[in-house]
Amino acid sequence: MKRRKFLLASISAFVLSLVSLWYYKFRSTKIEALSYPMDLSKICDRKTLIGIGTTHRKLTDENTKNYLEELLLQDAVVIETNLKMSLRNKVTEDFNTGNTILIDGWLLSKTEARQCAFLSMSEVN
Amino acid sequence: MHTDARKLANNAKIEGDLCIVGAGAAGISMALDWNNSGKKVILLEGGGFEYDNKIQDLYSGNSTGQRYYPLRSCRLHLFGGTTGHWGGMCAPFDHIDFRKRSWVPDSGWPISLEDLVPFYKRAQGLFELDAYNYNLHYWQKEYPALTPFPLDKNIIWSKMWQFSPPTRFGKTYKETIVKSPNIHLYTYANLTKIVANNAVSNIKELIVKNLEGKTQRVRAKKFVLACGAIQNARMLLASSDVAKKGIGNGNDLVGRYFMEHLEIKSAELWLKRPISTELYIFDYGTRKPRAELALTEGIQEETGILNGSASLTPLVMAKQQMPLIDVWSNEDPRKSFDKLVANFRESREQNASWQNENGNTAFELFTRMEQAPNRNSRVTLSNEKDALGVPRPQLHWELTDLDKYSIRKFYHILGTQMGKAGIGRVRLEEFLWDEKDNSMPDRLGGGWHHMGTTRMSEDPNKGVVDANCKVHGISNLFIAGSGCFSTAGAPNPTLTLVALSLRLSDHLKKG
Repeated sequence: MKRRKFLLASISAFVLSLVSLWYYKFRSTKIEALSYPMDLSKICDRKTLIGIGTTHRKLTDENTKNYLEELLLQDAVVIETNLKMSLRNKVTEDFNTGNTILIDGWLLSKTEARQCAFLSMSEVN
Repeated sequence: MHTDARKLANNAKIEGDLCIVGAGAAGISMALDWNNSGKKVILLEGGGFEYDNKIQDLYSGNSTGQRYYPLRSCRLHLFGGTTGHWGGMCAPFDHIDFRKRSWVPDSGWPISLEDLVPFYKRAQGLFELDAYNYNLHYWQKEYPALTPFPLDKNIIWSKMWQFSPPTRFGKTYKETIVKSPNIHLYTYANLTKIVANNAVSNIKELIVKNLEGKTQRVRAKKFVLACGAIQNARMLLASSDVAKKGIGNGNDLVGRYFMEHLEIKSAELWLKRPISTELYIFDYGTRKPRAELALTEGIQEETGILNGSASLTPLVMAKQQMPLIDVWSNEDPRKSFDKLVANFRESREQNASWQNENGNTAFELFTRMEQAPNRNSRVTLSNEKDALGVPRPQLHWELTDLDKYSIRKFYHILGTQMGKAGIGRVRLEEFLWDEKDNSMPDRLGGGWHHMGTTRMSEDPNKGVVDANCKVHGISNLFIAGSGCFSTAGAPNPTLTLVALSLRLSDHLKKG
């Protein structure tokens, strides 16, 4: 009886830790995807991205992490492996439809500006 | 033939069939076109063959409005004119430059690009250029590495430039002019007055003087003013003995619509990957053609902007370069020119990394854009007179809201297209951020391009000269050069002003 309980508890703990690990990894990957616009990250360093994000938050009402996450995930594929590409496609679509914004002189897609804003919130936290 | 007018007798009379005033690009081009024609062509030049400070002083003047270069040094007063220090960049105007555009007030020429093409072809040779072909595909056969950015061709195209050595007309064509059997060049013959008949319908003679105190009178069947836009307007306005408002100025248009090119560092282009094309980079020390990024007619019309283009310079180099308006600040053109050359040379030498073998990813975007025609931008006469008693020129350079709007919109469009294509991002300079601010910064420069002061229109209420560059109402007075431009066009004016002058020359030959 005691052994069975111990086994059950161990398996539960193991499963729980696997789920936690998976969730943590998923969350990390998701946060990275939300924070780092693929193309802009190749052009701007982290400091510049944070600067853009900070300015974006001052210029718009998009200045909470939850709200930014909500906006970024709208119409995006949430599965971790595809989130980065999905957001990248959103960036391209923004340029196609004129959904752009001028931040510190940078002519950017609104999506990538939000990603910078999300990054700047992460830094703040 | 050449005569130094200082050696002529005082009050000597000079007579010929055609008199061209000014031996710069326009005047020399026309004179050469009449070489061996059997007609006596008088070519008057106020300076000599070498630079002379006292002669150059005659070009001094003042400016108000938008900051401008010193009038004394932005033109050269000697045989060969301002080709003595020009940069050699050549490109024809675009179709749209000649069109009446609903979004550009006072736009529209009475001639088209097609009217000028035969003369562009002839002008190419005078500038020692290659074939008259400014199509990218043509040049790609010789230089396969001239590949454009993969941008939407309906919005952005590559405007090609060719580079003259640059041809210094004063050196290259001196022998031909001096040895010509029928061209009579008079140096040190400064135009001081245009004398019209009482009805101001015909020019009787010109009065020319020099600093040695000699005066001569010049008579011809036809007269052509080819002294440059500022000087031509100045002389028409100053000749007010009979025509109180100045010759050809019955409708108060002479001197108005002064236009320059808006030249200013406007943005940065940051690429995701190092540049792999040679199309946009100026290859110093060679004359390889290159292109600038330009917007199509369609997008100009859709967005209501002026015509212009953007050049690319590696940012590491560009950051060392001072604004042209700050560099060209000396009243002595030689010193200003030396400073300009040094500005470019030092930025290249001190930043050898611009030749990075791995390629550059960051570039300055430098605007070259037409100025919207503005009748309040003008040349008038000062109360001060020069050593020959001619009122000095007073320039008031004024811009309109359309000018800044056009620059700002240009880079918004370019930035959007770069983003769409996934190539990179554009960062606008701070002076373009605020859409409500239409003022231009003090560091705005021009190209030393003076245009529009005797603009062309078939309607004498809208222009000083007609489609053949004849001054309205005066049977034998014509104007050559960029002063006749109705709009400024996107590219540098030199090739076009010579083409227009050759067209005028052909017209005059018809009688």
